[in-house]
Amino acid sequence: MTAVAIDLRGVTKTFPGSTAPAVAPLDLSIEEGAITVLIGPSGCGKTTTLRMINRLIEPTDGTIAIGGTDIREQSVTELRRGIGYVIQQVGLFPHRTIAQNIGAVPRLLRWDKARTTDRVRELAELVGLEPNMLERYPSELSGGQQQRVGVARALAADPPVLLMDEPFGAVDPIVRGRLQRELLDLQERVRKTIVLVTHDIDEAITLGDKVAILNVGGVLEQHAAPDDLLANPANEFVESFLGAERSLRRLTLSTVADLVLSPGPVIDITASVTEARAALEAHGTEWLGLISNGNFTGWAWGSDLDDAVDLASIEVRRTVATITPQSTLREALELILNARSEVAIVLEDDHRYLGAVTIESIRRTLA
Amino acid sequence: MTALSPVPATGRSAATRWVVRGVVAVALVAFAIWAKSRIDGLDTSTQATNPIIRWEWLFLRERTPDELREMTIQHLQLTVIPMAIGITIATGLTLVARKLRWSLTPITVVTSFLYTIPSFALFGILRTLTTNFQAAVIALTSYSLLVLVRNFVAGLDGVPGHVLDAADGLGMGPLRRLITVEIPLALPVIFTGIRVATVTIVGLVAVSSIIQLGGLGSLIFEGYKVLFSTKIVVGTVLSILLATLLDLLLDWVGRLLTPWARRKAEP
Amino acid sequence: MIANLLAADPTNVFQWLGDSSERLASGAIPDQAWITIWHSVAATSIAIVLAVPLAVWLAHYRKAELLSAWLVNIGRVIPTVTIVAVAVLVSLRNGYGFEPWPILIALVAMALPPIFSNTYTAVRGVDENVVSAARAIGTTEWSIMTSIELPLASMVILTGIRVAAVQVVATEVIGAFFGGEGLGAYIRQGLGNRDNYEVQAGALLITGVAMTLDLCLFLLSKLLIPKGVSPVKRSSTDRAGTEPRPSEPASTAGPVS
Repeated sequence: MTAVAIDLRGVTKTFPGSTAPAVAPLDLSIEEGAITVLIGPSGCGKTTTLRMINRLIEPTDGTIAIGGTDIREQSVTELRRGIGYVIQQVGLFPHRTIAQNIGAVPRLLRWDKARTTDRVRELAELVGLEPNMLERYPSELSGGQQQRVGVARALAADPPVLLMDEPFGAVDPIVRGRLQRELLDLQERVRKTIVLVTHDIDEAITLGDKVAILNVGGVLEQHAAPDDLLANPANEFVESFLGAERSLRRLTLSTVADLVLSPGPVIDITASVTEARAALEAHGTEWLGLISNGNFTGWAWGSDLDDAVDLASIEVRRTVATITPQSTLREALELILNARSEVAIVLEDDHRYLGAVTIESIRRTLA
Repeated sequence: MTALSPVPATGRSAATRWVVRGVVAVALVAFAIWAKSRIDGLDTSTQATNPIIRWEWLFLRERTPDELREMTIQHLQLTVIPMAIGITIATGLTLVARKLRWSLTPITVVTSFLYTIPSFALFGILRTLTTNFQAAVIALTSYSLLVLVRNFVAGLDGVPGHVLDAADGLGMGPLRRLITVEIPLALPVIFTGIRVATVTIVGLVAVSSIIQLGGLGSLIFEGYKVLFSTKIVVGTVLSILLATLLDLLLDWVGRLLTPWARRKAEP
Repeated sequence: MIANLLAADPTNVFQWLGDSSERLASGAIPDQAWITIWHSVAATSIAIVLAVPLAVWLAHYRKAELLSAWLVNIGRVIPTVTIVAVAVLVSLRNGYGFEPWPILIALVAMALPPIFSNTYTAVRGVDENVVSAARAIGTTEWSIMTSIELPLASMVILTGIRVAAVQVVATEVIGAFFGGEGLGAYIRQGLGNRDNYEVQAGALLITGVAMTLDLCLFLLSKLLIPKGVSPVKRSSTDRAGTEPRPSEPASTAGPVS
């Protein structure tokens, strides 16, 4: 199945016994094949909104359509079997083996045994579970492994939509980071429409293709790509919710490849010593990088040039702050601040010279 | 909730457990051989040498095995029939209590009320209205209800909410959820209730024997009336054995049905 | 059976109750009721005095865990009839007669397991953090037992006492069949004389005593239990992989006879 978009139109939820709605009339278009993160303070109705999509909570008013079809056109159970659902406490069935847990929805859909078995194996591999774990019970697995099983179970019938309610809230920060990366890798391959609820702004920025910030009572404050959100918060609420380190967060979001790299204090090895001296002057640095056929070979102090005949004969120094185009700006900044050089050399495939990153170039990007 | 099993299985290595089992087995065989030789050596002239138990009544009297077997079967009947009825009713009440939450309080009040009536009084009243056997079955059934309903409800309530949430989220209907998720997960607590009720009923059947119902209690009561302690001892031992065996049997069945509860994380 | 039910006209039972004091060989109702009540109250009190301090002490120092489990199981499997029969026989053999020692001893033996086990379980179940906190501010072990563990466990202890008291009344009645007196005598006589109304009246009286005692203990528990102690302890059920637990330790109670 291909991914589908989810459309919320005027969706309202007022719980019995309360006057104020938990979710105010909410309009939200969730992009197909992308991760949309719902985030906001407690009481903002983010989980309620999520649970209305698979009708664990029935909306008081409004319509929700998945792929253009109103969700009320199907029976509740049918609808839910077509939507993956992952929750914080995982909710694995303790009395079923891992294989049976992953195969829960295929069994509900009456797939034949062989097909289910194949699918379970395939999924175990997809989420990185050892095959020997399949016959164990959930209580024999670690929290991180359980969460992987939860994701595998949700994906079992290959649903176009995946709902995740604080999926990584119960695991420790190290495992959380790993699971987040795994989810992104997984999404590269499966391209589902994922709606994810979290209260962790860092997680939202890391995972979300789009982030919807909700205010108390289910008021949508801003719905934008993370970079957009950080660069142009729509109002004070969003700004304060993103926090004081808004700029720092953006650093984790952009990579070195996004920068306009400066050519840097480098010179081709075929140039003469005089040309090199001129370059030193021009860049105002005390050292010069040497390039040979587009590859970075090393660097030399200005004083090294004094008794050199040509650049090729200089014994270059190799200790240098290098970085890849895939590194985040945060990593680049950290490198620059720790190195004495004030620039980081950007290398592709460990040798091809692309340019240099300076604090100034990072600042220009953020401005 | 503690089982009646004599050896606590936890906290010992497999090797130690096997050694213990071996020692117990050897001791049992040795005891059997010794007992056999003693029984073979019995004759009527040894009568009255032992004030507590007369072995020759137990082993040489011709009618004893048949009498004991009959009484044990009666006892077993009076345990199993009320338990079966009790489990059926308790299941119904539990389902009602789950469907209509408000009904739990009246159900608990009524079953507690039945539990508070001294069994003997209940036997007494029922006996004036119906046959002995029916009176006993009704009284014993009414006794089992409180423990059964309480454990059934507690068992189902104890199923973690997030598991139910996940079951709903996967698209299970309410009936399927009950049968494939809730009941299996409630089984350990349900079985605890059944075990407690069964053992309690075995003890109560002994009381009902006083109103001439047969069972092992009548052996004890007879023994008291004619001041023959052998019958008291034999009746008591058989009653305890019956309770223990039923408890172990139910424990075993319960474990068989809940394989996931045995294996715990040992990474 | 329906016909029998209809025949059991309660007017006759109450008539029986009304004029029984004159025509009964087995004694007037108040006398017999008094015997049952004092036996029950005395036995329950003795059992409380014996079991509660011991159980609190053992549970506080985490001792005799196996023993406490065994005590309950043994209490549950030994038939009541045996306890009463043996107590009476031993008493007769040693010349102490039918009254009141054998029945009291049997009743105390019946009441001990539920009181002991509920107390033990409840004290063991007191939140470790509360005890640590008390210890940290310099509370003596004695004060921890008496002013923290005992009050916090009081709910479950009183449940155990109620279960025990009802059992004791039930067992006391059986004593009548072993040569004792008390309300059970009406059932014994009624069964003997095939006098249904006497049996029914006796049964009603016994039930009345049991329920009154239970009600008194219930009211007492309302007075004694500190307000902060919640009536029903719910175990947290939201952790993955935890096994569901039974709600109350009261279900460890032994047989009611």
